[in-house]
Amino acid sequence: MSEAATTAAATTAAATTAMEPVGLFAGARIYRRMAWLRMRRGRVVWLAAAMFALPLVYVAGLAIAGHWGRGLFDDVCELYFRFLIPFVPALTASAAVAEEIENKTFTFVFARPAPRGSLVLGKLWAATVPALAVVVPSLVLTWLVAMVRFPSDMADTWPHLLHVELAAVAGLCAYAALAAAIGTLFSRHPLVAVLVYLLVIEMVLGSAPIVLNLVTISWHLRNVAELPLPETAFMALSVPWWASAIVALGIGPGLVWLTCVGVNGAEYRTDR
Amino acid sequence: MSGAFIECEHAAKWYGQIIAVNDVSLSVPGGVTGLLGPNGAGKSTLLKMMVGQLRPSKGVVKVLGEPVWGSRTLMRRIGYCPEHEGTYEDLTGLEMVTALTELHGFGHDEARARAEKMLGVVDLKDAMHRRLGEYSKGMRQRAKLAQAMAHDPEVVFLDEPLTGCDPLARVRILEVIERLAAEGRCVVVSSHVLHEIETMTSQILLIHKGQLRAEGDVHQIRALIDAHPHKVRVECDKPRALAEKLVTQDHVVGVTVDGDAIVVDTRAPDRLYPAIPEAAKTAGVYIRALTSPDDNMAAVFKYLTETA
Repeated sequence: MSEAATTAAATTAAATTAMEPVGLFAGARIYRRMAWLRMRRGRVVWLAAAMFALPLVYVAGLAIAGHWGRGLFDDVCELYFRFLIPFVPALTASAAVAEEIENKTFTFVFARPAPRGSLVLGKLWAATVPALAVVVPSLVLTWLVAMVRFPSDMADTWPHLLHVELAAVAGLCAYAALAAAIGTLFSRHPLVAVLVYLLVIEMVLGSAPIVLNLVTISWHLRNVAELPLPETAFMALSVPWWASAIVALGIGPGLVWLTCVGVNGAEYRTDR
Repeated sequence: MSGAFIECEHAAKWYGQIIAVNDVSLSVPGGVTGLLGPNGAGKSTLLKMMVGQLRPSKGVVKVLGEPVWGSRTLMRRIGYCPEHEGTYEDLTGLEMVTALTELHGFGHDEARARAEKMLGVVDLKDAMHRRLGEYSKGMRQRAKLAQAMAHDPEVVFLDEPLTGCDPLARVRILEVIERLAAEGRCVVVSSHVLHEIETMTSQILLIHKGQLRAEGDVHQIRALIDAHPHKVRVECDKPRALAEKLVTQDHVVGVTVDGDAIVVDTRAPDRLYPAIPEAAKTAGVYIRALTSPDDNMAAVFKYLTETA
């Protein structure tokens, strides 16, 4: 090593020893904090929160109109599972990695020793945890409003609430991971790409009376949440709820892992 | 490791049919080294290979004796200030530099202290609590420089650091680069403007069409360049009056009036730049814009290639 290089190495030796290795989760925590700071200052998170308040307004309106019980709760769950749980993560997570690519800010983060996968993990954490924190209590409140007139029904329906909560948690994680993965692949228009997927695959195929709707997340979520399933034309589909729960809970981590692998080997993207 | 901080051994990068960097072998010692070439010459591609953001299609790029592609540990010893303007617009300057320093393994408090110190060095102390979206281009450039230095890297890569900077930002950035070199670090600065590089270093690497065309002392290159006419375009309200004043200068080899602008050919750009405002003042001419088109550098390279 040249004399200059030796001097520089000595100058930075103290700094280098002060550094701790940055692991996947430590890196993810830093990205999560950055992402959350930015989301709080943007409009998307408030829009998402407002959208999650909609079911509460809806259930209150129906309750005032004289609807009660599990029927009302399931009606409101349709709003969650058909609309909010797939589409809110599309808004908050589709640009997680895509915006770093498009704004070229990934050049800063890839010049760091932290594992690149921590970027994916941290940004999904920032997008998903607040959504979970809103949806889980929001579902409980919805259930309470639906059941308040006949409290004796609560004992019979609370296992159903647990199924719905499990499906909501799995759904938010799976859709957020899916949105981030699709957004990373189609970084120019991440939200459009995710919306096309949701409309074509999840909504149309998921509701079609064919066996192919088994490939959709929405079908498995409805199966876990004990909501009515579309009838197939050629055969009766009978999948136990726990099998659908394993599928729904496994999709999120699987897609996160795939996105991390993709980002890890990624090179600087040019317009050439 | 030999005496070099950075070594490229037959490094090449291609995208399909396009060769961005073609069989470049070089070594970079300590101090400031200028990477010079016209736009599209392959400077940024070469720099990105040196920073580990691009994998060489062929050959090896080593920094501090280690192949840089895929080496996370090496990233601790490297600082990189990219060319693009993209920053985290919603974060303040302090938040961005702190977070990016934390990603090097510093605790939050230590990272924040380093970020504050570096933002002070680049003269952004008063603006560090403002969002980056509110920064001018020069301020963003300085914030990017701060994030590249806050972890005390041994090797610093600066891609076109003076582009679009106001005079104050230029002075501050040049001071910082000088300081880094004085501390014994290796600083690689890319630019397509020879004049900029000359203010920082005399040690240069000339890149053209993806190939290393020359390396060494800038003065040798300057002698070749000075023998070749250099174009400067001046947009003003009275082009003919300004042309009359400038054409009398002995280093001016030609003046062309082009609408509301003149294009001056000179063999001594360093003498022409101060002469233009003086001539404008005596002729009562208002100058709107003064540009040194990038094809100057392309022309110089063409000239160097043809004479080689």
